[in-house]
Amino acid sequence: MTGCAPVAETARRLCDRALSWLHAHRELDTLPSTSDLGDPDSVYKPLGETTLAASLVVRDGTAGPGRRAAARSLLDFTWAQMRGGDLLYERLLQHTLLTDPAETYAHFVRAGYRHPRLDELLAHQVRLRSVRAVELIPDRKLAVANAHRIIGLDDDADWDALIRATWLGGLPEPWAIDWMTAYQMTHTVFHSTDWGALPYRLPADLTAYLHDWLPVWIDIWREIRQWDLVAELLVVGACLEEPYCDPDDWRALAEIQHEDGFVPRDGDPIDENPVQRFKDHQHTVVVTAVAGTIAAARASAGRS
Amino acid sequence: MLAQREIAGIGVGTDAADIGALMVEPETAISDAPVFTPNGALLLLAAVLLSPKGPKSR
Amino acid sequence: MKVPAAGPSRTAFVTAADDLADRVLSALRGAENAPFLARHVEQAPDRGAALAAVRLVGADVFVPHLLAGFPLDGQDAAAVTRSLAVFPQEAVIAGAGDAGSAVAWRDWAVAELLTRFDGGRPAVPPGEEPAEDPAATGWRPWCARMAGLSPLAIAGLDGPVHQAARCGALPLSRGAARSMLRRDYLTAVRLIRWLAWLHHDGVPLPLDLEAALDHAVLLGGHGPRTALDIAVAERLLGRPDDAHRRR
Repeated sequence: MTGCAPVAETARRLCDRALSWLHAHRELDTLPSTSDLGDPDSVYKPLGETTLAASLVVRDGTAGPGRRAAARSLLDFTWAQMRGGDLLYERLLQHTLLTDPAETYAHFVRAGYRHPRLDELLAHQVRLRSVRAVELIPDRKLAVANAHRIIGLDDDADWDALIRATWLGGLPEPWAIDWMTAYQMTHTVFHSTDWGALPYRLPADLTAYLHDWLPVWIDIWREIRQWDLVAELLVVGACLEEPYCDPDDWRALAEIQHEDGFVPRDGDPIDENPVQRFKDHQHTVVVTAVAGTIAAARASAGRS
Repeated sequence: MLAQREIAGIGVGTDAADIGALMVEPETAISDAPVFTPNGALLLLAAVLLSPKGPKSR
Repeated sequence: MKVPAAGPSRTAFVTAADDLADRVLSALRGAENAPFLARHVEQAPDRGAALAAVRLVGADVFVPHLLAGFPLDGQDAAAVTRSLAVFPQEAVIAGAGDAGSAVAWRDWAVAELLTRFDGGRPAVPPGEEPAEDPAATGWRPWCARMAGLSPLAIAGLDGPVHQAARCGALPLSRGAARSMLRRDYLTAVRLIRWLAWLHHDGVPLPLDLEAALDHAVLLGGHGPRTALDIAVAERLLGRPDDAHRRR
């Protein structure tokens, strides 16, 4: 196995272009000035996703100056959209049991942003038995535990137990996966390994299981052009202790990326309207940037 | 008994080739791999347990 | 691979192969007596198609003999030999596109079993093509080949293809999982049959084969030839005859 090295160049180019598209289209994702988020999925979630992608570029430090500058600029933009963290703080003030303020904040913390009053509020929140007992599905619990770890909050997470409680942790029949469960599986890996930074935290039997079955899943969803899911599966491969990166898969993703960095989520016709286009495909561009960043970082870590 | 009865009218060339094609018939050309469907199980649970209609965010 | 359009004889051959597979299954379950093959061909409305069916079902016509101690009658052996003479290998291979080696290996299995049960060896070129190596071919194309060779996956038959299969537990498992996810249960069952052969041979498998087989049977195990693949797989797994478990 040669890890991510054979795809390093492709990964870098994918990420460069994806970031530049996110940067060029950032104004399509702006929050209303009121504190009411309305539908959190519409603007707030995409902002968090863009923040994630940019924070990984900053964290992994393997990017050239151009990409790092784009990432910094995106982070400044999304931090400004969050009104310097006030929005997250107020959201948590209003809704004690919500976990998304910590999850979103963690991406900023990863890149060096801090909001002292939010830190103080979170330190209180995480101590509440009520908060710890909130009923989340297992891969979401991992998301929260990882966010707390990044922010520096001690929540006594039992990582092994959290991982074992997920679909992946059950070493399930690989032929009995569905589309939504595949996304949940990818998130189990993302959060357990902190997006490729802690690959060894995924237990060895689960890593071996993924080496066995990722090729199958990538194959079936590549065949029906589910590019968003394929890109997530490529991220999973890049997060493993011995990364799984098949150059042919990476080439396929590179081939569907447009010159300006845009990546369609699937094989359906693409809406001409720029707003709708952003809404439909921004997630796929983010995942592509994340995949490229992590694979490039793993490739250069493998070299040293 | 078969030896005495010649099989009449078999166009051996094309028929044999047909057998060859059928012997190695390929997998189905169109995949029916899973795609997004509104999660049936969750909808059913919601109906059964009378869960409140939650916000759309996960 | 280019697949020519199905002509009238092709449709007739498929129907005939299904009829023959039904007959073989019923022999496996003890509901036939020798010479069931010769009788089947003799009584078929289209004898040419029935002989073509013997070619298509191939080594699987010997499933009752291999698995249920069914005696091979001389007339049955003659029917199989006749099918090989009427549809000679080189003419059959011409229709198999780039998968000609699969035809050669299937014929090898038929000749091998005829020799074993009857003592005579028909004029069939031996399967001299090297068996493909899963690591070199890649798991997906290799599984496509192996699915076409499923009649070779039976207890008592062993050769270069089987040796390659022994090195291919993971590739075969991936192929089976992939076909299941594509809902191509016909291909899935053929690959599961190979996995059952590996299990019978003592090779550890990376998936729960019984669950996979049950799933494939319940969701898509239709058609007599698939039923034959399933029956063989069940027996390789040491499970009771599927007839007892199903309505």
